[in-house]
Amino acid sequence: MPLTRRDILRFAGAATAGIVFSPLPWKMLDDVAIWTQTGPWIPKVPRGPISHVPSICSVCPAGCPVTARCVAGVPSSLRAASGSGQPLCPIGLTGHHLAYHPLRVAGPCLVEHRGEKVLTTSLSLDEALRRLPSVDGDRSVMIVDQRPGRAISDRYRAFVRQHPGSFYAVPDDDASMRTVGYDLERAHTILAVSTPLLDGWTTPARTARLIERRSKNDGLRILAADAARSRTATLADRWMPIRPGSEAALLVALLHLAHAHRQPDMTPSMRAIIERTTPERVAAAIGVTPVQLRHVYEKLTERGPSLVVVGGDGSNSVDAETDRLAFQLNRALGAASNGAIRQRPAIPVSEGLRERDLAVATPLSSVPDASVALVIIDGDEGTCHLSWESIVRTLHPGASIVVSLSPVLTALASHADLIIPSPAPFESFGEATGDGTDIACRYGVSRPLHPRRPGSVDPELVLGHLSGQVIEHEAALRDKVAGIWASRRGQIRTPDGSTTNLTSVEGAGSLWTALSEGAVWTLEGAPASASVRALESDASATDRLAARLSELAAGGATSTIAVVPTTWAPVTSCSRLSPLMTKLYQESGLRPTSEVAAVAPATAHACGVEDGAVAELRAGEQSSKVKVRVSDSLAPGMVQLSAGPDPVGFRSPEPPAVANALPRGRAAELRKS
Amino acid sequence: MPARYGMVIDLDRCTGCGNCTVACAVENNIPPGPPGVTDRTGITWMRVYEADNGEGFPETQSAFVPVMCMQCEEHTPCVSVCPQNAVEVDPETGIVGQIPERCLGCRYCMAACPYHARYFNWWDPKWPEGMEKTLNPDVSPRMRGVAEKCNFCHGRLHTAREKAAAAGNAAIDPADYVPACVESCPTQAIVFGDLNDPASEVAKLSRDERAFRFLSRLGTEPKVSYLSSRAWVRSLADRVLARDQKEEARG
Repeated sequence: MPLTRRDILRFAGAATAGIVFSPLPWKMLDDVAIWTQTGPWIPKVPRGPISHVPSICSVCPAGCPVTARCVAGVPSSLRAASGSGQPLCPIGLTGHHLAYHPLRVAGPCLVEHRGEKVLTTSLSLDEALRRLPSVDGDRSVMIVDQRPGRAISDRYRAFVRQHPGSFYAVPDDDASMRTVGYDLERAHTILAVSTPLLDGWTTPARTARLIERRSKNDGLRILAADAARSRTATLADRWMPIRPGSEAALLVALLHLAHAHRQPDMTPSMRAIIERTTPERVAAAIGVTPVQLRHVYEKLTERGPSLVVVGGDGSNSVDAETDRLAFQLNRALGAASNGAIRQRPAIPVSEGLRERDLAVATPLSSVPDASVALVIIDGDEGTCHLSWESIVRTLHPGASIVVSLSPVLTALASHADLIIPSPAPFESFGEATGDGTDIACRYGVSRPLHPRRPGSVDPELVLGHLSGQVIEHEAALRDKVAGIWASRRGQIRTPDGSTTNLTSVEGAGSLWTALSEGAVWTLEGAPASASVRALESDASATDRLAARLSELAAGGATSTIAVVPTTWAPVTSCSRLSPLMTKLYQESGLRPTSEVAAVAPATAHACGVEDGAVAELRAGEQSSKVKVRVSDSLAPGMVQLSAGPDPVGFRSPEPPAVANALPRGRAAELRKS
Repeated sequence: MPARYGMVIDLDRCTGCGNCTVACAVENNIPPGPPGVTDRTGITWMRVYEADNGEGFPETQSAFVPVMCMQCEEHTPCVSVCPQNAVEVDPETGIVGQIPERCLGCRYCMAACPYHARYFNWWDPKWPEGMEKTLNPDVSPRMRGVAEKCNFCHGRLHTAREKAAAAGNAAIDPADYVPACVESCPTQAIVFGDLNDPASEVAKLSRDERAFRFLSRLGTEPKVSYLSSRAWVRSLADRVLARDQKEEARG
């Protein structure tokens, strides 16, 4: 039968109609969907051989052991080293992202402020070094080291010692309270006074052990005295709400109950303060009843060893006097004699240097005003918040220059005149000097995992330019390790959990090999009684304390409200957070951003603000726009602010939060904006 | 017998540190939120909520509650509403899998999920320059316009299967398949395993007297259970029910 034109058309029409009922269109839809989802604008995952590299995390000083899973030599994840029993924190889990921080400084640059904008102008390294003023006898230098105990710290100290009138400055917290470590594992009762004990105050491993002990009902009791219902207050066995800023009064009242004024080595003025500070006298000022104070003291003495921990959240929360009071209370509770608090030993200095040839650390607040012509701010951040105000007051008016070695344009670096960026974490050998609350000092070395960015400069090179003695970064670290080995003290703990005494390690080279493969050197501290003298209050401190107690007692009800910063300790000072932290701050609301101010319904009503409203929070000369969150769980008369990174901190170098700059309990005003 | 993977989360151990949320994002190549992202538009396969007992100061008590896809076993709501068959329950593992290539972005599944555990890609995935080098090679990034959710780290299951196959074993070693949130939890509050294995810790804990499941009244048989010795925390599972009953009573 001949095919007609009509047959062909009929077949084509039927075929076209039939296609609709065949899998073809659906398959095409699928393929188009797949094709559009693998377009060139969708990032491709890396490919290459997978390796697992043991190291330690050097993002903060704690130095938790990690295993880096690397793809083609670039880390794709950091995990806690198996066998170490030391989990990581969210900062550590994302430490490998920091090399790609959006605010990373590409190379040496000048910083300029135009209005609210921060502008940077690139320089060559030679030009940047030429801009550093020569250091002669008349010119005073201050080197700010936020992470003392490293190899470069020893070099800084040697340099400062050779230049009289210069300062090796460390954050106040490092200078005072961090010389004492707490044996949390030994304690049966812990009183956390305005301390984020269970929220990053110490390493995740130590926090986890506390939680583990509690879940096993081994008798551990955690008491929290905090103005706000912080996370530690939430997780503690008992929370005692106190008035903001009344920590010192609480400790003095507990010292009174402990009869500390009968101790023979107490100074007369301190003895008088403690003797007259009865619970009945200060309870109202603290915001509790005398019965509650006695109950807390009974709990502390009921089952020892007991510990009182104060501050340490790095947010200017507790001053040195309060810290000294805590030490004296611990001593009165027997923590010094039973080893629950210990003096943490110092890490031995680098080989070729002697302790007596190195400058002593000066607390930053003790550096005189207008005394420094050149400030060098080391690039490694520690665990204490450092405000620009604490540095700018030391600058000599006129010809002074501030140099930041930060690899990232942090809030502090954005105020500097010149940035000579050091490598980011895991780009070169890093160091960890241990958790500042532990009874042991530690030293670990993290291996470079990323290819190094060309514009970064080792701090040793900058210091070498000033001192005329250049040393390679790795050589400086090897000297430090050799110094530790020469001490023949302590032990090394490998990532699998096994320990070896340092005396069994054959030489400094073997120790370097072990440390660069993830091992950590540790040395436990001696009982803290030896350090008592150093921590006792001097006469001026006692006067300040007496004045504060009087002020607190006279305070009563005021028309203002008190600021209570709540912190997530690891990030209070840390500007270098992974961009992935939006998951915690913005995308889940698990961590409040620094823009949110929480108040009680009564406070909101008194201030004329509503839930969700934008308001102005003013404290002294500081003011900030905040978003009001009304919460039933807060006490009236205070505003709870999150001290920490800006919610979009990785996109802007602006100062993080008003709470960082305010002392705890500072009076403030909240008004509708 | 096929596996039936599930989790038990001890709320008395959870400190709300956020490790699980962050570890999940690293493992599953979930990008950082763009400017302006909120808790409604962000993507957190594992999200930790803070719940309280409803009392005012100073009687308030809180608990942190990690919530992810509950891997519903019966009448899985997201499966039944998906017009594209982009959600499937794997009969070999019991894991509710999401197939982004099939998803057309209608978000019916998000509306159907009683746990609000599904997320939508409002933007194309974007990492800061260079950071894409740190992505997990086992998980493909998803494009704008598709829904996604927790799949118990499916990439790790594949890796465990490959390892078992290379060793000539038919079954995987349970130690080789541990989701990122479980691995990263510092207090070991999350326990993962095969609920069909009566000897496994997860199976034992899921039968613990402290165990409860959220919205179990819906009959979807979620495979994620929670533990708490605090009565008010356990009552959270029924709180929504109580609210519904009140609303029904009001008409």
